Amino acid sequence: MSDAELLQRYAQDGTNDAFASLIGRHLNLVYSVARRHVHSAALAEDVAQSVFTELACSARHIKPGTPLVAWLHVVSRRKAINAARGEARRAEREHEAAELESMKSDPAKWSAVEPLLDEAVESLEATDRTAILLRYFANKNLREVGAALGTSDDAAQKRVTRAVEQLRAFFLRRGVTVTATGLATDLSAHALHVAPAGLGATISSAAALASSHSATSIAAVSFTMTTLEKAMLGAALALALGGAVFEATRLRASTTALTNLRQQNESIAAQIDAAQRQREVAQRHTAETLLRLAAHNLPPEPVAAPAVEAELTAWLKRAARLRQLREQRTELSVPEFQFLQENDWFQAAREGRLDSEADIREKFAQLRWDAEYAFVTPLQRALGAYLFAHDGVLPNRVGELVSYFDPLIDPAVLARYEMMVTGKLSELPSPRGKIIAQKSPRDPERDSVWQIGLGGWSSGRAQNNLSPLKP
Amino acid sequence: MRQVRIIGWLVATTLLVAAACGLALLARQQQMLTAERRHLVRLQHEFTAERERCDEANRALAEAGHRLAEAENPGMPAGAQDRERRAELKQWGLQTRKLKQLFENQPSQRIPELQFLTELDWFSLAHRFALDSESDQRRAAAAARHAAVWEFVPLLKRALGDYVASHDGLLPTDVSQLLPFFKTPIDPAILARYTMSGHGPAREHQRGGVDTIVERTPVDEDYDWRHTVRTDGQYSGPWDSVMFRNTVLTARRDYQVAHGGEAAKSDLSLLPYISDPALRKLVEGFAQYQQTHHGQQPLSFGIPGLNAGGALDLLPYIQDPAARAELQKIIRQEKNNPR
Repeated sequence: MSDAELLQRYAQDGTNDAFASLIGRHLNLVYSVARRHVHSAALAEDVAQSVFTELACSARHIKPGTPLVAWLHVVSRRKAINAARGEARRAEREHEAAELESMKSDPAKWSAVEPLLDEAVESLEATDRTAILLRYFANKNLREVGAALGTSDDAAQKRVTRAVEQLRAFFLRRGVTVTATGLATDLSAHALHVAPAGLGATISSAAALASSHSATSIAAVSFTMTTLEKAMLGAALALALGGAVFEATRLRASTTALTNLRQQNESIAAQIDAAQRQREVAQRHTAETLLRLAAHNLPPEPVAAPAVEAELTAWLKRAARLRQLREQRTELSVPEFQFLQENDWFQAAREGRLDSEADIREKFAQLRWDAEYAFVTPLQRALGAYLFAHDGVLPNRVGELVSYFDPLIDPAVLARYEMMVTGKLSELPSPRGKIIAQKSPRDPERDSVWQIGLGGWSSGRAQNNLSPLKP
Repeated sequence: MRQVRIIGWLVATTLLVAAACGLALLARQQQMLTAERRHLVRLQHEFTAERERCDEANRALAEAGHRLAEAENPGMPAGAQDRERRAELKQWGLQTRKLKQLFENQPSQRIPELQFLTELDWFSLAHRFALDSESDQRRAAAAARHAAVWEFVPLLKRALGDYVASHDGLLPTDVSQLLPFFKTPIDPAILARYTMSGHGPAREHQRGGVDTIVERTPVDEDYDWRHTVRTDGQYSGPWDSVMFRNTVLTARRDYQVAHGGEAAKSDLSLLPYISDPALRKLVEGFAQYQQTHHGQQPLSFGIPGLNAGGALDLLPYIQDPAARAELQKIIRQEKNNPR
């Protein structure tokens, strides 16, 4: 089966066997072309893989009748040159340049021919190039070359010889002097490198993979095929970078959360400390309080029996209330209150109630009576002193007695009284009778009206008839 | 190309190792986060528990404080006003106890009538008097005795009235005879402190306000009041002024009896009816005072008349030393017992 037929089978059916046959036929050619350009077996392998991957992808697009050997040579050379350039860029350029220069200086060596060989083959006319490739690169005999070219064996011999001559001229133009015979011998010996064992199988697998994918996928596989490690490397890098970004983000969030948590923990720890201190203070105060309570729980010295204490407490409350009322209820007071001692107020609170307005008025009526009673004696003494000073003549107004009080009193007190009789005391019908009377009570409903003489006094309800003077 | 590949793999490996380290760090941090979260949860639980313990301690403190406040102020809500009142009450109680102790420490100051004083009476007395100085204590003790007798006198007056009523208007010859006439049995020792100032028909004896029963002797002459009882009344005053008052009233009664019921126009007429020389001189000055004061008399003596002066006013009218000494005693007693 010819190359064209195998290629067609592969293009139509995707038959891996057909493609494997093509690889088996032309791998050495492709590898040899690559090997001459890249000077690296590994890179030559990459180039070979790449060439057959492109063949797999382009199988349908190769024009019928195109010699596959020629197509493979062109593509191999191009890819090998690109690979060499790439390698050259990555390798030490100066060293490589020096090496190339040394090669030119020894035209007799195959090594000088080898780098230019493919360019030289490329420069040949298509039929001549095919003849050279089939004869020396595909290692065909002249009969097979003639069959491939559609000519006789002799015609093929002539065409090969002419092509070798054209190659020698090509090398000669580039300073490499070789004889046609020597070149033909070198080509037979060196043009075709044996590809490394297993490379064909690897390429077949790649081609099989390529046959099951779309063009784009095939291109991607092509790349993978050629830079599988790079892809893996890229994936590793992407994974590493993505992981780094992911980790950085997570780490940042985690660090923030950790910081917040620690701050929160510190805060709550401080609160716990504060609560503990507060509890300790409370417990210490409680202990102190309980100690004091224990002291109090000892049988306390009672102030009095419970019932008496209750009365005393009520008494104190009434006394406080009475003091308050004394300041607030000025309308209930009389000037005679000046004759009451503080204790009189306190004693007045001993009994009675101060709950209602009637209670209050009643209590103040009692206090007014006490105060007015306390005023009787000073009034009698002042009246006696006045009479002694005025030869027994009574004053016309009670106010005239003001300077006869010892100690002096508030004149407002006297304004509440009036003379009932005037003139000489001894000429009165009853010298021991009424002399001075209170004008009006503060509270007519509760207060007594006082009538005072040197022989005594009387006090009774305002609406009642006055009782006789008491001695 | 191989070097590039190696470098690439090295870089990738390094990055992968770094990523792995980062992952490890992340994992470690996650572990720390987890640990911190657990710590937070533990702290929150601890805080809650501590808060509860603290609240419990505060409640215990509040309760103890409340109990203490109640112990210090039983029966009263804790409040500044109540605490102040309680303090006042305690101070009052201390003063009262001090007054009582005064009698316990000095039995000679006691009189049996003190049994008539109620607890409130004692508190009342203690509130009226300071007990700091000796005179304070004497005044307070005398006031307590006066208050006690003042409680007893109405009972004595009622017993006397009952006795007179049941004995045809005759007075008992001895106060102890009144014992069965007390509605509530009394200590006979109480009656032993009183004496009859007269006998015979009560109406005759008591004419003009003359007293029938008088206290026999004072516990403290300078401070004690003397109490007197009649079937129709009672009187009390500084010890010697009461004695002087009873002397004048008795003399006036006796003069009136001697003169067919006619009252003396001047107390100078009473002198023959007074046997005690000092008292006679005192009454003489008293009468002279009335003459110069248009009939007025020192009112503190409680003698019916124009009461317009005081014992001190009488002093210029008393020249006799014994009478003057007696008057000064009266003046001192009045000063110790102001109205």
